[in-house]
Amino acid sequence: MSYKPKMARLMRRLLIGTTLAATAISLPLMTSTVMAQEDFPTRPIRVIVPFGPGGLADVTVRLAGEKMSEILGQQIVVENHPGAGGVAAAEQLLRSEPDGHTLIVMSNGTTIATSLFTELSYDPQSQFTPISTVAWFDLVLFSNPDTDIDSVEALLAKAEADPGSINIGTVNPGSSQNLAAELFRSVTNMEANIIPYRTSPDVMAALIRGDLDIAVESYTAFASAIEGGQVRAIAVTGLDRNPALPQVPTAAEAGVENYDVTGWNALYALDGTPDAIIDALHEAVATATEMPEIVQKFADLGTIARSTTPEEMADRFEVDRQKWAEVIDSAGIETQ
Amino acid sequence: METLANLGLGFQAALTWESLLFCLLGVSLGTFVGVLPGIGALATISMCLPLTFYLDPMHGMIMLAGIFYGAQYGSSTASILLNLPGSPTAAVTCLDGYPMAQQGRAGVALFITTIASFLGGSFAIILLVGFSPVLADFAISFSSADYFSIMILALCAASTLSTGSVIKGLLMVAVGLLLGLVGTDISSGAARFTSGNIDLSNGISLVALAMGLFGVSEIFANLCRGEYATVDARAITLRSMLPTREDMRRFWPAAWRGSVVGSIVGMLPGTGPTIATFMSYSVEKRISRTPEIFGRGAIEGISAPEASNNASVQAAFIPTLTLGIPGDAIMAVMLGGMLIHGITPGPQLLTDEPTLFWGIVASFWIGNIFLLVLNIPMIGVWVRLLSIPYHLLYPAMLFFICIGVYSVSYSTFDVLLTLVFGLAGLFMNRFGFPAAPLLLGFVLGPLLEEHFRRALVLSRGDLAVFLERPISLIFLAMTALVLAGSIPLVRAATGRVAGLVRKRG
Amino acid sequence: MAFSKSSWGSVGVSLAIATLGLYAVVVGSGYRMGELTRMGPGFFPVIIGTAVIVLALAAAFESRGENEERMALRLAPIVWVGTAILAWLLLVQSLGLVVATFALVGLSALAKPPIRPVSILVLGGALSLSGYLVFIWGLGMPLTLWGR
Repeated sequence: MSYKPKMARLMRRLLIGTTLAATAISLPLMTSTVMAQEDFPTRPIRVIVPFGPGGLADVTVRLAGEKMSEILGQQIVVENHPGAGGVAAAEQLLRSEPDGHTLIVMSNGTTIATSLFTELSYDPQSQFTPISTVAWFDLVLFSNPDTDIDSVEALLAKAEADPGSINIGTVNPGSSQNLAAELFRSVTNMEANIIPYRTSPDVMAALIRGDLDIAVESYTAFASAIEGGQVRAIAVTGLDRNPALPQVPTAAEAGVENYDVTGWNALYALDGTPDAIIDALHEAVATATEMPEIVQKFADLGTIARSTTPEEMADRFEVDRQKWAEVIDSAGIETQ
Repeated sequence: METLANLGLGFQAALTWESLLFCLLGVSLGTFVGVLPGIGALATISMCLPLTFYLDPMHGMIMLAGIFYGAQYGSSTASILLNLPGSPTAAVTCLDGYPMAQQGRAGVALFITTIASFLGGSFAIILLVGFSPVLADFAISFSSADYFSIMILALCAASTLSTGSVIKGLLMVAVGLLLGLVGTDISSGAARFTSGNIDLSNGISLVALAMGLFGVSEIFANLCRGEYATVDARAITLRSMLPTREDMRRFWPAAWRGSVVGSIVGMLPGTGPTIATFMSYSVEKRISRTPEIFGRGAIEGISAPEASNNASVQAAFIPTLTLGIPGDAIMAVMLGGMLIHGITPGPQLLTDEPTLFWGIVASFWIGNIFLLVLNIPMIGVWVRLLSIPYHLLYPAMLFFICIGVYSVSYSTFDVLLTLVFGLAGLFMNRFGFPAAPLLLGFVLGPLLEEHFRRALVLSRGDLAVFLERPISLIFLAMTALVLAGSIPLVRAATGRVAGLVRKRG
Repeated sequence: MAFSKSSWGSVGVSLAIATLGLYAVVVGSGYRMGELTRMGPGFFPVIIGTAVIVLALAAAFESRGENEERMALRLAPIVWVGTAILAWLLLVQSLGLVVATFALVGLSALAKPPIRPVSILVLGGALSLSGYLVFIWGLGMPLTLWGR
């Protein structure tokens, strides 16, 4: 046993750790000493994330942010401001200057929030301006391997044979998962109960226990159960197959028409940020999402790293907003 | 035997310098944030998560887990000394710990809770080592109907928690359930009782409620009394901090019972630790020959819940590690951390990564020893906190309450709520309406509703489901026993002593 | 304003809680009730609200004959501590941590005379510093020392 390399590695880690911590900590101090300068960025960039740490959307931003800080030469500091409708996060951004040093993460969830909350205190489409998407993720339809529901065809046949017997579990009403289930039910004209649960693990436990026939969740949330053979993936909701589940067909391949649920998360800046800065940021995201290391890490998480131009992003936002508004309306989900 | 060999492997991994260092770092940080109001283990773990990206996965997990159970040790300290519970489970420790501190027995209380925590933690770790897979299957077999029934049992048991009338206890449970309904309804997405206030759409802040009802109301009460027993620093001797033989005689059986209840109930994903802690308190009160001393500094009243609390914290790792099903938000963040490192917890973790699995388990026990060693010498320091003159202490407490509540979601509205609940708590306290059952009702309220509704969706509206499932039936039968047995009994007991003891107040 | 040995306080609190229950029932019945198979958001609030009303009335009935000595309430400490907390939450985002903390310490000190100016200053400074070190520097909380 040699301790030397171990100690050296330990010291290096501690050093990285403390440097990172120090940068994160000293950031609020620096915010007051800003002055616009020629080059961008002149100080660390804050990225406001409207959900808690640890989730897929958060982790992908952190991974990409790490590479972007190498490209831009400034630390990217991710701050989590979870809260209903992304209001808390939006307020953080709205309080900052439109100089590209404070960015926000928007997601598929934001397009839903605009319909779910009738009096949202901010308007993502007019007050923020898109930079690029970072990651794209589909959802997966899971069944319990002890049942004979091993494909979408089998699911629809069972629903047909015994109407109302199918239980589909998702997390809270108005979540991407829940709306994906609602949309699936409506495009297939299937009779089924959609049962909301508080958290993804609750959904997983209920599926394994046999309370549910189908669960709609992301690949990552169920990764451990997939590996353990406790759940079976029968279809993915996107237009392309999931890189982590190459053998699982898409819903379209399984014969479901007009069905595509692909979530994304994207970086946005305050409206009024100079075009040159938006371009620089977009360039950094585009470069980062093409790095093989990022592509691989994202794929391990069951997501795809892909950037878009600001214009494409703006269009996508509007398309998704309309799609979810219709689903929320027809499913009778209560807005607030 | 294979288990022992594996455990040996685990200790080998956990006893390296790096593992020990990160374990120590984690438990120290955990104890520190546990003492502060507001900042809980969840916030700290979330903030430390990115740092662990740079660590070896095992060291990262060891550190994060250390924060988690370290915080449980720390939170009892603030509860005992200042009546500031950082979590619903710590509120149970307030019930008898704070009266002990007021009687000048803070040192003893801290000593007892430290050993109780160690005992409970160790007991659950042994279960974790020996029976993980079996226990995990048990934990996952609970369906919504079963959850509903165990929560009904816990809520009814909680109403007998306090010294006063059972009706007031039940009333407070019901008020807690009602407050818990404020916010977005999980099953339909509808906002309830929010009056359009977006600050309320995520519900009333638990920390604001607990800090208001316990911390702020106690400050009000002390100032109204105009007197506060300050501990004389010179009176703090080692001897005054050590429990008497009588204390220890009452400690042991209570701590063991707490460990058992905590380990079994604590495993249940979601509600385990909270239910376990409240239940073990009511078990102690129920079987005690002197139920009237509970709430006035009973040793059993801190030993059992503390043992139970720490046992359940360790037991919560059972479903997380063996099934990949995290019990609460903290476990979910830690699970996220493991996934980032490319480790998927689940049944295959034991066979695929035995060193990692057993290393983490072994580190739990080492961490508990660290906590014991760290905390015992700290008791003297903590108790000296009480020798600070009250005119300095209460503004400082107010400051830490305000900033602590604010730190949860950066909301000044929550600080306002804390004040409102502080005033409500003052009146409740004064007229014999207990706060602890309210807090349990608040925590369990949304879950109770959720499971009730879901059980009926799954049974297609058939109420018989609660009697048809054996687990559910057992809990409902126990509830009936608790209610039938307790009301006349508690009445008789409290009736006799109420007049006698209330004169102090 | 000391309350005497009577039961009206306990009965009063019970009745206040009953009103809260009534409010829950009224507001709750405005939400969709649904049926047993698929309950709406109004179902549970109405049940719990009713339980609160029944239990509160029972508690009021039970405590009608109560005759116990209770701690006296005094208005001054309650008002000053309340004002102190209000001041902190109103000032902390606009004027920053330091001003808010000094306001909190100063106002709350009025709750327990005599006033000790030196200890207020020292305590305010010490708390501002520890708040800065732990919460702003250590935890990266988005607060400033002197406002935005």
